[in-house]
Amino acid sequence: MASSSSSLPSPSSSSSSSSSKKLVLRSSDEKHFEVDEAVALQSEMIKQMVEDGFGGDVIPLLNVSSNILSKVIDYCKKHVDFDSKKKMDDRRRWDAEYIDVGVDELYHLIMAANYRNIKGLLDLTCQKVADTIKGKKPKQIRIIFNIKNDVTPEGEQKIRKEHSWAFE
Amino acid sequence: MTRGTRKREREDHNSGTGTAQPRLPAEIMEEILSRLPVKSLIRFQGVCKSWCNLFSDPRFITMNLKQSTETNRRSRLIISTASTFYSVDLQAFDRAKRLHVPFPRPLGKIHVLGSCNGIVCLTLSQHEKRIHLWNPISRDFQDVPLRAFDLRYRRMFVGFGYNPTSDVYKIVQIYTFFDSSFKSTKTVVDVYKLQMNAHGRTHHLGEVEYEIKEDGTWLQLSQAPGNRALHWMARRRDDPYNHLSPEVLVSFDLEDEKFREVQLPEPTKESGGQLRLTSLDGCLSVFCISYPWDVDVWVMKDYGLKHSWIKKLSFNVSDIASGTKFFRPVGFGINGEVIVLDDIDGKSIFLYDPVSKRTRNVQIPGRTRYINTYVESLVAFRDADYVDG
Repeated sequence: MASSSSSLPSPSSSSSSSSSKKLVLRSSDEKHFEVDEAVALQSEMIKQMVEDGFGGDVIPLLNVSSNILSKVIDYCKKHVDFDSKKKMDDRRRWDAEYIDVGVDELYHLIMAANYRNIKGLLDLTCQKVADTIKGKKPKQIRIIFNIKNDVTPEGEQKIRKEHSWAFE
Repeated sequence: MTRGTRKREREDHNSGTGTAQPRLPAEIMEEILSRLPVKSLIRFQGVCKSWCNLFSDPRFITMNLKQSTETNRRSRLIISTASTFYSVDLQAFDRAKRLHVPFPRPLGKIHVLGSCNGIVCLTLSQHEKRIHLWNPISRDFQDVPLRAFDLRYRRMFVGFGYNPTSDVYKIVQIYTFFDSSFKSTKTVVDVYKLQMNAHGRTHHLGEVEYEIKEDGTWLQLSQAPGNRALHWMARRRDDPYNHLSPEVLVSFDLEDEKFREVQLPEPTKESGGQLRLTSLDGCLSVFCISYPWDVDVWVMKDYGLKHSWIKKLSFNVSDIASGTKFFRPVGFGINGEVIVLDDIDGKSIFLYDPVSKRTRNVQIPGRTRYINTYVESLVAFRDADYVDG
């Protein structure tokens, strides 16, 4: 579940008990994950691959490591459940717990969500970053995103002066 | 956008290189930044030049606005008294915060003509021939001199709205005056068109068949063509002074610039109740108020289809606040609560949850003249100067 990202589902055993159609996903470190088709189809990219006829084979996900993939699968599974129930409060609570991760993991989740085109997860991860940085100072932002400061001290002073209220 | 510019932008956003810190692609960075509150974006202009440029790019501003609108985050009430403005956060609903106003205290009364996408359209005196467009969050303030604008006309009403189809804002001026013989009046329409990065232009539209009774309302509707229209309650011009003649709901399509009637729900006509326009869950909606203070909320599920009106909700004002003698339903909160203004003192605003029947209350220090729901944005018109067109 959300807080137990350390206890990875073992590869190939992460499928649910239902007898619906399965797909096999392969992470960048060559681990295989068998998941329900409905779960995998949360990813627009996989959906496209299945439509293009790749459904019967192992689907390789070259940019996603096994620990991130299992976390992404957690998300997709849970959201297949949510979609059929529509309990907004539960969903919000689960999402908040799920996304309570460190910077590194957050970065890899964003990249995975973007690469596999999972809109819900991309929204969730981007919002998390936005919530984390919204109160920061420009200096801290440059460090977080490794941005070179190309604004002159006078330019910066001008912004600070014209919009002093935004720095309160 | 060509592949080359994309790549360059990507490098711009991540000017620093060569450390272990992984870098996010430019489009993801934009996705993240578009979710920030306006205050953070203003502060982050100083992070680097490319961010500063990005935050004034109309495409990014629209992205940020869309985020705020869709997620319902940062929804507020904006309230004007005769001399100043207040804002109330609709999530917290705890207090009225006085807004910083960039203009001197007006000699007359502030007259708000409308608001849309985080911009308030107002005048500060009935003698000035100009309108002001003000963004209370980013504090941008622009004058729009209008050729024909003059509140001394017998009747002058304004609508301010946005057309997402063409990404254009329009100020629609409707004014009535006596013809040269002073025997009859006519009502004509001028449209001032403006975009975030272009000069504004006015054109004359001609006469209109309706007698408009109030400033036009732009509603955040989700269905085209409702989402690109202004709405008014009006009377047909053939009989404007017969107060027994029924009011009609008139829309002005900001795309084709045509007035049309939108059919009202049949029972509201029979009840003879007073009607106020609003929106609920992106649908056109009306409050139908019958005395003593029974309110029905009607919602038009499919914009323009008469049979799609449904009665969503009914309540009596005594459910909200006993002892309130006059009140004005304003609109809806983030979770479907009804927002109601006590119209006797104009100082109490109620947020009523029709499910739990709970009511919250906020006090305004002065008498409310204009009140509307409002979403924060970076929208600004830096080239709003008038160009004859």
